[in-house]
Amino acid sequence: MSEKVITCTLNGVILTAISGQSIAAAMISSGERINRTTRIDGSFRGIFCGIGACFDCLVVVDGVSNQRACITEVRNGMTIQTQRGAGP
Amino acid sequence: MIRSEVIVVGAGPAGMNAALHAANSECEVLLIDNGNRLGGQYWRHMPKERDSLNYSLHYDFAKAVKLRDAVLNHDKITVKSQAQIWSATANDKGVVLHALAPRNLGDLPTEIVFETQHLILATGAYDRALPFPGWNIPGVMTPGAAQSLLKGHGVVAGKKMVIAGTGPFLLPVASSLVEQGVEVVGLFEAHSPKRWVRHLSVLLSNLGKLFEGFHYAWILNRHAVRMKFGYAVVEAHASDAGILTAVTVARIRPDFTILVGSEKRIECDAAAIGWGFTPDTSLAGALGLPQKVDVDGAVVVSVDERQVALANSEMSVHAAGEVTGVGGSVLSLHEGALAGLSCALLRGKITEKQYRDSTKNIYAARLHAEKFARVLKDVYVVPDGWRNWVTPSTLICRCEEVSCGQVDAAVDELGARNSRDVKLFSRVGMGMCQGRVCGRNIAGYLGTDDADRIRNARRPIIAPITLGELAQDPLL
Repeated sequence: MSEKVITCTLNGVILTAISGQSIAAAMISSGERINRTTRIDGSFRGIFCGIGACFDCLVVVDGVSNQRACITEVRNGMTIQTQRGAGP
Repeated sequence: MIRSEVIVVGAGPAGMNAALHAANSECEVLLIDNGNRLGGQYWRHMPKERDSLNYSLHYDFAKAVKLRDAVLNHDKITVKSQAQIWSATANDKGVVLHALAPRNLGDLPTEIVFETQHLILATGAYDRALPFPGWNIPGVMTPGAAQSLLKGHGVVAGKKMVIAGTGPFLLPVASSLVEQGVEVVGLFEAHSPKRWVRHLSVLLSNLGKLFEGFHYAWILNRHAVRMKFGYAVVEAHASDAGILTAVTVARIRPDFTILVGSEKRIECDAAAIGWGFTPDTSLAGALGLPQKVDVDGAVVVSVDERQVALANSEMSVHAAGEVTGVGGSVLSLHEGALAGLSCALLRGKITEKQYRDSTKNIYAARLHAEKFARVLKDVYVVPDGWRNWVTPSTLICRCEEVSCGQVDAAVDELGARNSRDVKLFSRVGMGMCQGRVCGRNIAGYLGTDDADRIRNARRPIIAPITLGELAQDPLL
């Protein structure tokens, strides 16, 4: 069986990933390390715990904010945006 | 509402073995997990079509496949993956669990309610991270994050990486990364290997573990990666674009204080830094299970010799694996087996004599594995000297962006005396992770007692839920 390629968008730009990969993994392999800016001082955050415990890698998925990139699987046609502060 | 004779939460080594042992004794078992595939964090793997990579990324994947397939093919076991439990309650009659199935392209996630009289908790653990200046910079992560990217998704976390912290877990992380072409520019273990000297007899009675250690050492040696002992990453540096460009490592003393003047800077684009593991007691706390502080300072579920945490004539809650104290996959497998068999006994599926006969060897094996786990906790202890790595502006709570200086102010100016006071005055631990990352460090930073640590590990809502999702709850 061959690996299935998934196409979605990250901040409006096409992002390709392998079926079953997390958003965080797809972002890292495309060279994007920043998942969001923080609510208070606007600093950058990326993947940290990698297993859904720390809530640092939050992104906006199909318009819904605060989704953990490390445990959310990429799907065809998904729109992913880096999150600014508390929401989209 | 879905009812099952036995429910197991967590499909890592402990949970899978618990499910299998209960099912082999004719119990109907429902195995609930929040991951996509069985295996938990330890045996996290990619879909079957990438099995050749799965085998090369794991030391013991054959063991995982055997257990996974036995669980998947068992007609008494139903598997529910990708279910995130957000609430749990226990009463005299049993346990109710509320879970969310994943969201589908903008839809609300579906809520599922599970009910059972016999629950086995095998919720595992996550990496412990310690604060230091710059630990919030993208590129700094836990070894578990680097492992999950690689083992679960086939992606390396960086091109030039530093691996640091303490504990045997650093070895498989560094080995699998170098094998996948990452340049490991530094591998730093905080403790001296001399700490093993007084435990040589235990080490020699665990030749399998010793052999596994040599296996990693051989790989690292082949890639010319040398582990340095007595060092820690004490600062991380970002580029103008805000991402990691370098870390500062320093020699540290056995109490983890820095030897001033020993600092040196290492360029890297990712750093995986971890200080052992913290058991995930979220569900245990919600269910009101008895908890205690383990020798390593972690809050764990307190269980009896049959892995029972709570029981009466109608119901029981067992716990197995890392949630009862960090001890590795071998110990977890034994604890899982005992929990599964104990459930079967309580359900009347096996007799007391059958229980005793089938558990005799497992009890001995568990004791042996526990001894090794205790030694690891002694060798790779995390003393509170890390408190001198931080500055007043270093974040201690990543979610709510609370600095060590703000915690100091809560104590010095507002009179906070424990974790709860500090939380109320500074918002420390009030963010989305609910103190999973900072809770243990706050207690260490303040130097609070066991009761404070246990109280502070409680989080009644296990995962965030929106009001819209809550409104769909069938029980409301």
